Formats: sequence, C-alpha cells, structure tokens
Amino acid sequence: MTDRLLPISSTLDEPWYAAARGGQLLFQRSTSTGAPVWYPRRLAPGTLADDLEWAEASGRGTLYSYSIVYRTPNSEFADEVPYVLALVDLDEGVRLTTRIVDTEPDALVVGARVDVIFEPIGDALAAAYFTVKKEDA
Amino acid sequence: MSSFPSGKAVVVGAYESPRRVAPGVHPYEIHAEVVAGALADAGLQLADVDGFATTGTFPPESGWQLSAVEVAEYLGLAPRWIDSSDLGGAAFVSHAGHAVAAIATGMADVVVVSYAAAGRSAPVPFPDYNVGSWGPGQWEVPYGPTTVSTYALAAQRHMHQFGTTSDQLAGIAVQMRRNAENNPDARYRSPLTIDEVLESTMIASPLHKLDCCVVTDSGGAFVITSAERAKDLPGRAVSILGFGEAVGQTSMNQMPDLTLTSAAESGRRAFETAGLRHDDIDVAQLYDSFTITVALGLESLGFVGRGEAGPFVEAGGIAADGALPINTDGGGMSSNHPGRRGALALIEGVRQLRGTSPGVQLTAPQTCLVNATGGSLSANATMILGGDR
Repeated sequence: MTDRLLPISSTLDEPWYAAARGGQLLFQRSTSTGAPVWYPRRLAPGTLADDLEWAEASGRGTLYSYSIVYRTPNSEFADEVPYVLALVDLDEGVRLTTRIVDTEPDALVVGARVDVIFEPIGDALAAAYFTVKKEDA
Repeated sequence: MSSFPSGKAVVVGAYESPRRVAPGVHPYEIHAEVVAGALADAGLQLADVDGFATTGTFPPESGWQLSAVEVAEYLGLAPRWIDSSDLGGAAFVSHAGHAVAAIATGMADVVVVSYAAAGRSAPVPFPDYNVGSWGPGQWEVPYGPTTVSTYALAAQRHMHQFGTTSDQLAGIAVQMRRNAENNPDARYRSPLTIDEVLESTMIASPLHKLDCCVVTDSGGAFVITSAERAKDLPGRAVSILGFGEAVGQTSMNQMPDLTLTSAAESGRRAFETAGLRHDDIDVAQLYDSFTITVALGLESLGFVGRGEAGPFVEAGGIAADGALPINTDGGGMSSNHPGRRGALALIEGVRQLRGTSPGVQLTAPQTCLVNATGGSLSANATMILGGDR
C-alpha cells in the first residue's frame, strides 16, 4: 500500500479529517441559506457568502450509483481491484464519492441504505467508506 | 439577446489524420501534418493564418501548461489571436465557437484549430484521473475513479432510473461499427454484434470493453474564416450557424443528476443562436467516448425525452436511415479517439455537409449538429453547421 494515492489536505480541511478519525462525518452548511455544502469550501458556492459552518451528519445515506471497477490504468489502485466506486447521498442532502466495502458487490442495488465507516490514513488523514445496512443486505 | 453572427463564419478546410496506431511518433508531428492538410484543403498557406487554437495539457498530448505556445512554435506560427481553453474533449468545438467571435470582431481573419495526441502509444506514464488529490480531488480521487468508472456511474444510474439495458447501450456500439465499415481509416471495421459487446471484458460495471471508444494516436485540424473571405477560396465552405458551451463539474459528487449533462445548456444555446429546432437537424456527431455518452447526449440535447435513448436506439433511431443518423464515420467507438475527439467530430460534420464522409454519406444533408463532451461528463460544446442553402 506504499504507493497508495493519498488525499492532500489544506488547513481548511483539517476539522473534517480530525472528526473522521473520531468517528464523526462532517459537512458544511451555509448559515444564511441553510444549504448543505460538499466538498469543503472557503466561501459558500453560488453566493460566496462567508458563512460556512461545520455540521455533523448522521452517517446514513442512500446509494445513488456505483460501479464495480475491474480494470484500472492507475498503478496506485492496481492491487485493489475489483472495488466498488460509489456515490452516496447523505440524508443531510450532500453527495459523497466513496467506496462500498464489506458488502457483496453482486448484491448491490441503487437505492440501498448505507452507513459510514472510517479508515484512518497515516497520522492525520482518514477516508469515509460506506457499507450496506444489515437489514438491507 | 444573443447576437451570435450566424452564418458569418465558415469552415473552409478540414483534415483528419489517417493515423490510428503510431508508436514512435510525437503528437507535434501529427499537428504539423494535420495543419498542413487542413490548409491545403482550404487553399490557404500558413502565412495566411493569424489565429490559432489548441490545447494539450496532459502527457499524451505533450503540451503541458503552455501547449498553444509550444505547438505554435513547432509550426512556426505567430498568431495575433490565441485560444487554449481546456474543456477536455469539448475543447476544440469550444475553440471553433470562440473563433467565430474573433472573426466577427476582426481579431482574426483565418483561424486554425488543431488537435493531436498519442493516446495509445505515448511513451510517458500518465494517470487516468482528471484532477489531483490536493484540493477538490482529495474527496474523490483517493477512492479510485477511472475515466470508464465515472461514466459507468452515470450508466448504472440511467439503468436504475429509466430501465435502460446493456443491450440498448451495446446497440450504440454496433451502429458505430456499421458506420465504420466503409471508412478505410477506421480503427475497427469488421461487423460487431450486441452479443459480442456484452461478452467483452467488463471494465467497470455496467460498461464492457466494447462500450468504450477505441484508443488511437491521431489528430485533426480545421480552418475557419469569414463567409466573405471564403468566396475567394476553392473549397466548399460549411457555415457555422449556432454555438453553445457549458461547464458541469470535475468531481462526480458535484453532478446533481448523473443522467443529465451540461449538453442541455450548450445545446439550448446552439439551437437558439442558430434559430433552428431539433426537426431541422439532418445528422449529428455526438461524442461517443462510451456508449452511455451517446445516450446522455441524445437526451440532454433534447433529441429524445429523458430516459428514451435506449428505446430510440433499439428502434433504429440512430441508424443511417433512422430519425437521427449519428457518427457517420464510425465515431470514437470504431474509427478514431486519441483522447479528445471533439475536433474529429467537427471534421466529420464538415465532411458530411460537403458530401465527403469516409463512412456513411447521407443524401445531401443540410444541417449537422456536433456535440463534444469533455472530461467525466465535465463540459459540453455544441455547434450547428449548415451546408449550402
């Protein structure tokens, strides 16, 4: 895993990674409009209002779409295939790019309910994956 | 109100490289060949060119950050108007639209738009993601998207939402192969069946290998000038009637609806500027990086309703004798796709209206819509071309 492609964070992103390492899934909200925002921004997209605040998500969502990736030209991921690339809509109204893990890929269906699980990366980073809720599996 | 100078600018020269597999050939060699070819077709010299557009910002194009500068240098060209807008595969149709404005305002008289890439044989490694993992990409790239899998996300969603089937998508690849059968330069010309598409290797579900375009080393160029100037030139001019462009997103998590692309906006603008309706379009060149790209193009441009692309294809809608023949040279699926096909789609639009398609030549079409899609459904540029009226 030494050549794994890691996220490279900025200072702005640090609260998200710190929370994720503690098991919390954060997103931003624009306090003037109430609109949920993903991914983390400096100013609210669409208005550039300086009013973004971190909010905690429930960690539950719905599988919007997925693809079982069998082939990749990217050497960083070559030893991970097949894996399930996915888009998950959080109940709070933002869409995350993620992977579905701990679930039989062939049993996946769009619309399945999913729960977040975190994987720490190195000393300061983390990844948010999702798994299909047991009663839906 | 749009004041697009519909019909005031024309394509007077177009040339697609016959190369498909060219190991050992640097893309700039192909740039030189296709610019020379397009100028010869136009009856113009390099010294006549005062506007130039290209973009090539990843290794197979070898242009890096200053691609327009370096390719101009390689050609020995010192243009007074330059465009290097990077909309991925949509870039060169975008350049053509910008060139119309340049010509209408006198900022350029003769614009060359050129594209070349060693998509297949580049001897330098390059990653298959659109952005890096610093900034917005950190929330997507570490999860392992590939170009195919980002389009596969759209295909999977389309199937869920509308009941589109793998057979219907395969029908798109089959039709492109049929169109390529006569094209002597096409990468693949032997007949293809739906079963062969479905039995090909699964790359990223639900997209199989034969749901994907060919990967080639090639390029193409075209020449745009004013309708006035074209009167003195030998070649048959093709009018630029309408144009629109629109951006979507780079990260898939920023796309509100994976079954509707920014072609909805670029297409609407193209129809408005041309003053035409869908019924007025005789033939279309729709970006076909993957079979799903065509389905989304048909729907987002409004040629069929949302979710109707699959049944439309199944009923022969995109066949040469169908309601909307598309990709008449075999497209990117079977003829040529070095990585950013937009320039080549526009060239086939020009050939079709001139009556010189190398694939399936329709009987005297008067209008052709060209839609190019870049990145991971990231941007679209749409142009409507017209023949002699």
